[in-house]
Amino acid sequence: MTTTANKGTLEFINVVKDYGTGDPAVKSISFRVEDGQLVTLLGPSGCGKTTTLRMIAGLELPTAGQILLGGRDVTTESAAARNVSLVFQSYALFPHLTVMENVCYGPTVQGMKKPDAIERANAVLKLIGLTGFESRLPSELSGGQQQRVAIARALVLEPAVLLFDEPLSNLDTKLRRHVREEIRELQQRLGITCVYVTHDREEAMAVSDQIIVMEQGRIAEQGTPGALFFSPATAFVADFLSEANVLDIERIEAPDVPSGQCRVRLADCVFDVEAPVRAEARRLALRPDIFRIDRDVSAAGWVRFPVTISKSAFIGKGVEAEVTLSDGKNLFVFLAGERQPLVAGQAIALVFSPSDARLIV
Amino acid sequence: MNRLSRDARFRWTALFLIAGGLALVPWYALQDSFFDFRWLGRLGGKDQAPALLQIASWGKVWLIALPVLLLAVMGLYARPIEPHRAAVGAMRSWGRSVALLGGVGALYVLGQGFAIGPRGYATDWLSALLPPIAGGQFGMGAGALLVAFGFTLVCADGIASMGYFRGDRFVATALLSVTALVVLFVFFPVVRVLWEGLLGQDRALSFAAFWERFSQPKLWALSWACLWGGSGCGVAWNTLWLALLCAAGTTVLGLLLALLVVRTQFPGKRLIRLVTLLPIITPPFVVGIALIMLFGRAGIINELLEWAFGIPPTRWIYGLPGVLLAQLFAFTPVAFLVLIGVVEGVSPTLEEASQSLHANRWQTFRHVTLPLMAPGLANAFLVGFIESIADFGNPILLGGNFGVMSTEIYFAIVGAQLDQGKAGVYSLILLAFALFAFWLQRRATARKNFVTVSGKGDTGLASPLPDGVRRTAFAVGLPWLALTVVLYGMCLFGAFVKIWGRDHTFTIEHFVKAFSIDYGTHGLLFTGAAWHSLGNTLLFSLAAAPLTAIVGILSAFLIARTRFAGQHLFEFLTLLSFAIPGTVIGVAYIFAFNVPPIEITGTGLIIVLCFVFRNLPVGVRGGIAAFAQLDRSLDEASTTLGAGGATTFRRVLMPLLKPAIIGALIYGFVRSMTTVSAIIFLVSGNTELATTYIIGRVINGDYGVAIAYSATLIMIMVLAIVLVQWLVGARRLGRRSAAAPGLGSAVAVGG
Repeated sequence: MTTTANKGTLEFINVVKDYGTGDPAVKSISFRVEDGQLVTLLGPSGCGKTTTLRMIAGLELPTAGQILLGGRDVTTESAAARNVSLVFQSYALFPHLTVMENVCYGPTVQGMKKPDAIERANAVLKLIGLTGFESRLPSELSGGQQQRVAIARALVLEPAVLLFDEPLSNLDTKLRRHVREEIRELQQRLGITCVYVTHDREEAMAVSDQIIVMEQGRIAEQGTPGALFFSPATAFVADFLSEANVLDIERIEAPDVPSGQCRVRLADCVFDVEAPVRAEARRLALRPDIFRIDRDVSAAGWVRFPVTISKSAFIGKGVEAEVTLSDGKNLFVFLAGERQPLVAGQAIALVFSPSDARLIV
Repeated sequence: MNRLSRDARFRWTALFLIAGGLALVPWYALQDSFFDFRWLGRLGGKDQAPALLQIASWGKVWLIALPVLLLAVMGLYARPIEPHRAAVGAMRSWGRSVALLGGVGALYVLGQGFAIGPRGYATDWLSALLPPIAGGQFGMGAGALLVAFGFTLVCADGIASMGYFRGDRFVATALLSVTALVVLFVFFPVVRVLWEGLLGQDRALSFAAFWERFSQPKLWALSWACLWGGSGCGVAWNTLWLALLCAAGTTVLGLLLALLVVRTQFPGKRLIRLVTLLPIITPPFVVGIALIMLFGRAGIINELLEWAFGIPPTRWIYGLPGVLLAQLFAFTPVAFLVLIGVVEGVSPTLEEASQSLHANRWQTFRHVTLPLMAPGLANAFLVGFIESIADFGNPILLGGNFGVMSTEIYFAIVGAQLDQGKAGVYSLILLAFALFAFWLQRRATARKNFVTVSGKGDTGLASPLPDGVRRTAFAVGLPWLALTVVLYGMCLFGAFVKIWGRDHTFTIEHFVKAFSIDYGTHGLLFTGAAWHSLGNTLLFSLAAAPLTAIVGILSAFLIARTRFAGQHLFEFLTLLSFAIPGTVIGVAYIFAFNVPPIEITGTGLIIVLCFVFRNLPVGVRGGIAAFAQLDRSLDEASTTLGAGGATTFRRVLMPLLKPAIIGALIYGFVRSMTTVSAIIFLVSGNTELATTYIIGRVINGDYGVAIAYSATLIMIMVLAIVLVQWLVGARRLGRRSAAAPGLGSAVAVGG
């Protein structure tokens, strides 16, 4: 793999972080972040995503492996020397310094003259829309404003890579979408490489060029949001990204299966799905939102199967239901646009398009 | 600016320190002060010569290793490793060599000092092993200090280059320096004094000698008389029994007062808080003297009883009852300060839960409130115990025939006997008591450290106290408060009358005697008898306070913010001196620093060092607590913004730790002003201190001057505290005046 590395290209090669607990927090991961991209590390808490981020920042040093930044080995370089900035989850604004002093902190400790630092800081504050707040203390700002100061403070150093550690977790729900859009817009405008950590899948899909899903210190899958959402290769990603139903199925070998397809049996239905990336796949991922109630409107080729409702609830944008298949398997389905919860015990038929089903490991 | 030049600057500093220490500054300690700079003109002399000249002209050949080591370090520095271009592991092995050279250099400075004394090799096996040398050497001085510190910097640089402490030289330097200081000035003296107890008459190790000193009936005789402090009771039992009584008494009194303040509508709460601050700034003896004035043979109470009922005055105050009473008055405020936080910390929600489960007030108090406070009570008990066994002023003033360990150690050293071995063994026993109490407290509360403040919004009203508890709190707390006020009032009164008990005419002659200023031919003359000791006290205390704060906060930083092997041992060492009674520290310092290589007895330096390391634990604890409230991400943010450890410490942590630093400063200053037990052995004619001057006046029965002096000291300390608070407070308010919404948090931080 001899691709060229630009300023913001980041590469992990077999990186391990072991705190000596017997179970390494990060178990030999390798990935590459292209210059100018926003890549999200996504996973449940304790999956090693924050440790990975801290290793990029230099706040933790890897137990083994290599970290390359812009093609240069920075594995043992200290956080202070590394050309990387981190926006902390708690913002970590210095409470005794004003907004201006906070933003100037980085340049001045690195030896820049005060007037130059102020000039740079002013430019960044203008960029981020905080002009007029220079002499405020962090305690006098709202949560969203504090967040922007944290970003400005990180940006002013013109880092090769900008890191975000769950930047939205301290904001209220309404503000989250707004700030998320701002971050994405800023990142694209500046063309800066970003690594973003979150456990929120919607947030991850909304901001990312690429998502790296982590599970128990390993990388489960990496890909674009669309690819991971629609065609996951593993049960973990299918479940984590789309809450998909993961069902054991039987694969049927038959001569008349079209090439690039696989024939499977689920309950009483036999249908063809796209052949899996990994040949050993024996499970089927069915996202809850691919189902419809069959009211004789199903298109040709859709799979139709009878179910019994066990639970159901109306949640506004549709109806959620837990249903039982004829072979006793349970499915969780979301029926968009339905206006009434289904009656428990009722028998109905559901349909879905086999092109929405995925064979996974 | 960039990484390289920062490294280079650090290395140049280290090299310059070593070279300067070897070539420019006297290697050995000077007879007179270093700071009069008279040595500048006599650098060629035997006593004043720097190390290089000592090697060349005065036959101190063993020092030659130091310039050789310096050259080796320079050789390594001349070929630094570029981390990005070097082979894997090259940086590490280079760093290891640097660290090794630095470590060897620093240890060599110390080692040669211990190995070669005034008469050549210090021990026989050394002279058997090494080539013979001519002459010997005395205590090390400024040159040795600079060289040792320079090599320490080199060692830190090597360790950081190896990748430890995330490559941060500041952290490595801080750790090495603080460890060296604590080992040298806490651990070494204590080991030295205990060692003394194991030496026989011929200075050889002898367990028999130890046992002979240890097993004396004077120490361990046990009889019923022990209970009331009668004669025939061993000194060790006296000390233990007194400490247990004092600890129990101060804990109960402190708890009652804390309940009074937190849980009742008692109107005099502010007064209690004020009164409880007094003993901290009160010089020793004040409470004792006031008790003598009140209950002594010629005291008011006795005179009153004799006048009214014809009861002849007795001397009951001299002995266990008097000492205990004085300690109760002196140390209850300390227990109160410990317990008020504990009582406030008991979550009202839990008490409400108990009541909603149909427990009555007494059951709630007995089964919920008290158990929740158990760790705090154990802590208060421990503090009372340690304060009591370490107390020197009260027993020596009021003890009479009732001897305790701390006074016995004093008499072993200053008495006609000068029995160092005895002092060593007694110190060992006292230290064992203190450590045992610590161990007991740890064990008792190991599994009971409840988190009573949950961090969730804890609302609810504290349930009212059971009637019995409330009545007891009032019945005990109010007289205690009244008596304290009376005692301090008596003192003030005593300072302004001619002769207490006999001639009660108003006078300021005591103040004149102590602090008179005359105008002579050469300008102002401070002719008062106390000026000399007051000047010394202020000078040493002012020098010690910032050092205490710096070492304390640095230690706290290392404990709270870094990870290294042996961290728990490091923490134990920094907190060790809290458990060491002052008398033991004092004795330990003379034994350790009376002889080369560190020969500083009789100087002001030993007193300042004693102040610093005795007050260190409080600075460390305060610092750790303060760091716990600062989110770690603040340090990390500073680091990722390109600041090194030193910059982060100076620009982010120091400003945020200001309250803790001020606390350590004030505490260091006040404790230094009032301490007596530790420094009583260390003062010389030139370095007499206020407390030792006062003790001299008290022994002469000259209470008037003693009290006038004490009152002056109290005023100085109050002024100093107010001044510092005002300076710091004003700055914080200035910040906040732009920030009206932040006022609430300012109050919280200000505490």
